[in-house]
Amino acid sequence: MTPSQERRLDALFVRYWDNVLTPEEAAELAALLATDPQSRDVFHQYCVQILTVAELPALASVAAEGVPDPVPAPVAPLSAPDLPPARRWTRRQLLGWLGGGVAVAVGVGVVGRHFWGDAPTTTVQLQTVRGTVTVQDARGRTVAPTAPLPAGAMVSTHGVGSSVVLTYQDGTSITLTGDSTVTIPDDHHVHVHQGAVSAAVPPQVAQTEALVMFTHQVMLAGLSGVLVTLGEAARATEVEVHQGLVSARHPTGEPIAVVRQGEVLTVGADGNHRKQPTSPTPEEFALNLTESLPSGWLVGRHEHTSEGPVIRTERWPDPYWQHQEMYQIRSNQPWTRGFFRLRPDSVVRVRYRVHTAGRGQLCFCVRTASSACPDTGMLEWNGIYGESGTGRWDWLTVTADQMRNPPNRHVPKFADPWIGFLIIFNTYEVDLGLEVAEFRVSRPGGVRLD
Amino acid sequence: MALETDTIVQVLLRERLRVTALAVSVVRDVHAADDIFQQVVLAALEARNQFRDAEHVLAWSLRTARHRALDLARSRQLRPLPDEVLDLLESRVPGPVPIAVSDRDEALHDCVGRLAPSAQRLLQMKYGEGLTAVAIANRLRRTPDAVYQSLSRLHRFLRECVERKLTVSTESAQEVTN
Repeated sequence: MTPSQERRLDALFVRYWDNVLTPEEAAELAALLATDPQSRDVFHQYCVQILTVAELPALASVAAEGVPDPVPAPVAPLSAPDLPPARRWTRRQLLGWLGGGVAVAVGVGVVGRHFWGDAPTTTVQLQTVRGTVTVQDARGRTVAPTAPLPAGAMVSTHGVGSSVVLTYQDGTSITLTGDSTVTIPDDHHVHVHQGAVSAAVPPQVAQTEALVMFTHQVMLAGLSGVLVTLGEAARATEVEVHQGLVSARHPTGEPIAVVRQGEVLTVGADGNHRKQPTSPTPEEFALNLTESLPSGWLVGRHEHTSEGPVIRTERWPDPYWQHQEMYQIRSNQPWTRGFFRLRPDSVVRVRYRVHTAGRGQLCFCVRTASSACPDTGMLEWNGIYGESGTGRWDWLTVTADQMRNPPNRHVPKFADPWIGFLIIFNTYEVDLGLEVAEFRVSRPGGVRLD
Repeated sequence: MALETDTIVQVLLRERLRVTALAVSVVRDVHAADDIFQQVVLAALEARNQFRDAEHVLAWSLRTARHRALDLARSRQLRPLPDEVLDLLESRVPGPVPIAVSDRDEALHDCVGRLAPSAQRLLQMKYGEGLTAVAIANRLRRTPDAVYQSLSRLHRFLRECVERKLTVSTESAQEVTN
């Protein structure tokens, strides 16, 4: 199968799935499958992909209609031990759980329909939707983001620049930014699954039920008169208090710490925790390639070579470019802490090498000085890697101010300082063999590196 | 001599992915394909006296799944692939290098994990929830063509990613053996 036939099969397959092929396209697909064994292999692999993707725990949202949740979803307000599962089981998972007892699974499916009913609604409303925001009801079905949210709704923001504000009747607002996901079981609980979620809770009147925010590691109960950001990543939860104070507990109810204004609490996956003053994101930064890359680093091969450690681009489908595969290095996204604080005169220096000269980018996603504010922007260097030669180490030097120049179309609309929380090296669809050995940010008057 | 019930169930559970993949290739609905698989298992148990061996069970099950899938596809007015193509897909023989289903599953899981959350969400909406590209496009405020383009790219990325992982693990296993 030639590369063009491969791409054609890929394009025809997704349209075949939706039954939207024209008669000519249907004939083309049939001919390809009839004459080429490799095409049939690919077709089969795509079907297997779909079956597997639909049941993977990370993606499984809610069971097909009629399958009961192994842990019944609570209707009453939650206490810490009654945390609902993040995902319901699919029919496949239930089938596996029963060890292939098919007759039993079918029976369960029939009985399960009686457990289903229409979910109640909350009074929580979506406002200020930016970028890509999706809402799923408690059954995992995507619904239009109209107010009010159904109980058990899962709200997700996708990609840098996306954000949404959830507003409550008492004036509380919950802001999601970037790739963040929460479940709203009812009017008084917010379950943070991932990302950065800020809550602005006005002082609560006595006898009213206060908001509870929780992750799988931390519970913040009795929120009143606070502005707090909860950052949930794979290996840690961060609680940063901008205003007021919060009492942080384990989901079991055991106290962890009281976190006051200007403090940040980090709770690791192992349960260990550390509270410290919120220090400003530094203006000086250097990526340390002698150690492992930070947890959650998304794209890039970290290798130790005879010339020292480097990070190399990898092929990756970039959502910004409609999932076109591009050669990139892409960092983790420490929204709360950020990597570095940029002023217009901040200097970015990169020691790199390419085996082929070609166009590329160095991009930073930046936010404002407050992690509770969802505004973001991009700083970009657009140029030619290897312009002055290939196969040898070279330096890229650029100021933050220069990174606002055209063709950048996403310049921050807010004043500096700009807090960089995502670093991207991109050489588009061409593999230039980009290797990065050093990456530094500094202010003028810092240590020279030549 | 008729096969034991346990043997039939073992065969079908081992070949579940292959049978369900054939069904889903016709009905293009994961949940319906699951239903068809369950129906095939029940029917196979009822018809157990006619099976000679495991190969017979598999061949019978693939054909039964195909027929039920075609029935459903017709009721939903889906345009099916021609019979000669379905014959070829049904009789498709796995590649020369045996890859354990669990290895491929693990590789696919890893590769999906490398996707951006928005890409994972797109796959979930399409195949987990069964939304059409038009419905997804409305939700995400994109065009249907852009959604189709993204999906085809993601499928290709996953396929190549899985092949790379399986190639590396096969080479590693051979090195250990040598």
